[in-house]
Amino acid sequence: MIAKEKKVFARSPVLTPKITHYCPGCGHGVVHRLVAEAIEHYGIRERTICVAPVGCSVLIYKYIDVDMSEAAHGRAPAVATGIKRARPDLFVMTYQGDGDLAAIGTAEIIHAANRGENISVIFVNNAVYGMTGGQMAPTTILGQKTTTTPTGRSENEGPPIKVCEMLGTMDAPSYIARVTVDKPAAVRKAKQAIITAFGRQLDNKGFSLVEILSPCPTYWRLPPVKAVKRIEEWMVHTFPLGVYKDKEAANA
Amino acid sequence: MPKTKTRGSKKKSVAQPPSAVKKTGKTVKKHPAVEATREILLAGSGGQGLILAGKMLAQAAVAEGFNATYIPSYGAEVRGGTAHCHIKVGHRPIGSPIVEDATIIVVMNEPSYRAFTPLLRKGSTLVVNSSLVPTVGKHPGVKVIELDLTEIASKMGSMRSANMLVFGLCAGLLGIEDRKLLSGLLTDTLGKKNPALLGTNLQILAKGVDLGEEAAASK
Amino acid sequence: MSGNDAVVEGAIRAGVDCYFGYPITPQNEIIAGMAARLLPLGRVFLQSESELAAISMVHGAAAAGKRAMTTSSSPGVSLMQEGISYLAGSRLPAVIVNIQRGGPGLGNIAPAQGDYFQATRGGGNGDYRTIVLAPDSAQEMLDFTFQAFDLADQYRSPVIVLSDGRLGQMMEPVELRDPPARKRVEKPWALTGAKGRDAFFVCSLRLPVPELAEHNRVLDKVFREIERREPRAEAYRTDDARLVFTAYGACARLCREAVDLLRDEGLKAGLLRPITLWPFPHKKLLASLKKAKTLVVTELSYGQMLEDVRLAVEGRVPIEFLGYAGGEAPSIKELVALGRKLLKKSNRKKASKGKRR
Repeated sequence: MIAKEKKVFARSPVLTPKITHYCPGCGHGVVHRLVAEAIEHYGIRERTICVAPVGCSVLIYKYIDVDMSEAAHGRAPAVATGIKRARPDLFVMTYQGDGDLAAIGTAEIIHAANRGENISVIFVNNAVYGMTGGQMAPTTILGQKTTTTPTGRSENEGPPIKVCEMLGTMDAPSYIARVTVDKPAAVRKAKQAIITAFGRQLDNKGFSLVEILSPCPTYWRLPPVKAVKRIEEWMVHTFPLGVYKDKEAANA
Repeated sequence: MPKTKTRGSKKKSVAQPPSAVKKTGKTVKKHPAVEATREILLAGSGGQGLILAGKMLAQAAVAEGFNATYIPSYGAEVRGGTAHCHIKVGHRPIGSPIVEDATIIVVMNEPSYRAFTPLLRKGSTLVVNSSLVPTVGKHPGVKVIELDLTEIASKMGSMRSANMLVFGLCAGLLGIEDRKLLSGLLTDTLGKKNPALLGTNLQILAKGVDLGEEAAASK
Repeated sequence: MSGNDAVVEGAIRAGVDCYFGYPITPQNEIIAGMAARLLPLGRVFLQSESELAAISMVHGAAAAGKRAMTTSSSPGVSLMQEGISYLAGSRLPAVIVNIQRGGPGLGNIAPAQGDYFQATRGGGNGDYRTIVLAPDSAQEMLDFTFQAFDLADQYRSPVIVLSDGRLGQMMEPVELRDPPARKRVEKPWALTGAKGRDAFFVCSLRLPVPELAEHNRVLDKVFREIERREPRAEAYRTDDARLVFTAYGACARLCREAVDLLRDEGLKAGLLRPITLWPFPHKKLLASLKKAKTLVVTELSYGQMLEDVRLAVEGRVPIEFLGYAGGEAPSIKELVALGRKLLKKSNRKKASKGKRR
């Protein structure tokens, strides 16, 4: 007798059947899946509004089957604030890259976090501008070569901005964590962090942000497998993984 | 002014200026003192309360059935600088809220005196707070009323209420003499904010109206 | 009531759900008034970290189907142009009130009308227009703010109320009323969560060329419809006027008073006041010039509305221009003197049968 098959993995119904446009080895695909699974986990697809950023992941609307709003470059937390304040009953999240969140949208993210705005932010940090062709990002690591730091980032540009460390100093945010998606175990941890973050909003606990270190093989000029390895070898030294703020754990 | 006669003048203009009847249905009082649009400027230092006095004066005029505008000066500084406001009162629609030819100017201190006396015209009334404006020059054709407004208010129990003296004085000068209306306005505006001082304020206001009427009657 | 307070009153009466704003003089009474009025009503008030954020918050609330607005003054409205362009591209209704001040740059806090181009030409990037309403009294500050919401909803477009520091700060009697309203429109496009329907994407982004080209055609159709249906102007004593003033907002009030004074002297002056600056009331302006020998354009800038007037008039009547800036404004006396001079000149010419080119 053949044992009944046990289904261990399925495509989340929150994902559309669209084929990805992201480059081979890009981290966005995995993160999209985790976001979709977290939405599925809470059964909130029909009341989720996602705010798409400007950058590679502006095309998230093609992949995640929920209501979406555009935002100008960097303004996703402000747009999300407008939606959430207008409809507190909806689940509102932003999906932002490092240029969007940590350069042009620094004011918006800091103030949304500082208000304890009851929204969830997925922050994908790949240390480079992808859509515009590999320029320096606010999170580009010292020594990293980009088209605008041809000899490597140096004192000329200053060191990279550490978003979780910065927002972690604030009183209002509920949950701030940094994860990565370089290994299956890390992906599982990342999913848990996203679920925790979304849960905070659903429990009306306020602002949550999950930063995800993600590979960009194209503009790191590496083959996908090597790019993934670089996260551990190179990126986590500048951006240590961990939970930077957890109000619930602190209160417990 | 010479009238222009044109051949096509048989047809009368269809568009008439808005009538003097307010939308509230209240008929505008024809008071000789307010036949033309009157232009009032109150000036002093920040904190003397003239902005409030001007606002109340405009409100009183509107309650009396006139058209009125009021515009405060607004500067970068909040306290200590000069503060002034423009009030216009009349039957006609008021285009500019800014005083060009002053009917009444009240100056509560020296800098205001220097700044605004150029707006005086023949027939204007200038009210000078004499203790803070020591030397008043010659103003031919202008009725100059020198009163120690600060001192009068102080003797009546509240130096800081000199603005209510100004409010009453201007109302008196303009012929807005419905004392019930004026004191009602004062009670509405300041009654809750400072109930202990309301009685004193009302007395000071009444004194102001007396002074204004007196001044209006004098030559 | 001041013009700024009247804006608050108009917005509350129109049923504004969400207000977002950032302090800037001379419109601070509005943001304070909104806080005082909206919070007790349980509606949304939030002071944002910048004008960029304020207009984006408006974007979010509008996308959620709510009546949303912001207010600011010139430099702040400049920052909002990004968001206004996105609102226009995403076809989201919103109301933006600009209490103009002196510029360029930080300029000063005195009244000015230097943002006419910015307001009427789209202001942000891309091919779009916004309806621009220009009140000239505290009453109209109330009425037009109220009506701006209806227009915004009807055309799914941001609407600008273009006022200035003088109208904002000046107090005059205001009738607290609901002005004529339009039918409230449904918002089936609003983001409410994709329950029982396909997911919506509210966006201006359309990467494929044919998609954006089609989107621009749709927008253009809306703009043409607005141009047909919405031009508004006030013609004041223009029927037999030989001299017509054209001005909007605070300047129009001055001209109206000057017209009355000139008429007292038996001189035939009139005023054509554009109420919508975009769409500009071309036809109404032309209709007011039947008897006119001269058109006087005056504004608190060095000739912005003047360009629209020239386009409308196409050289039919000689134009005199009076421009002011930096907080200066014409005095009534100045306007009357100019009107007198021009009218007498045209009368003299007539008497001497002088020929005009």
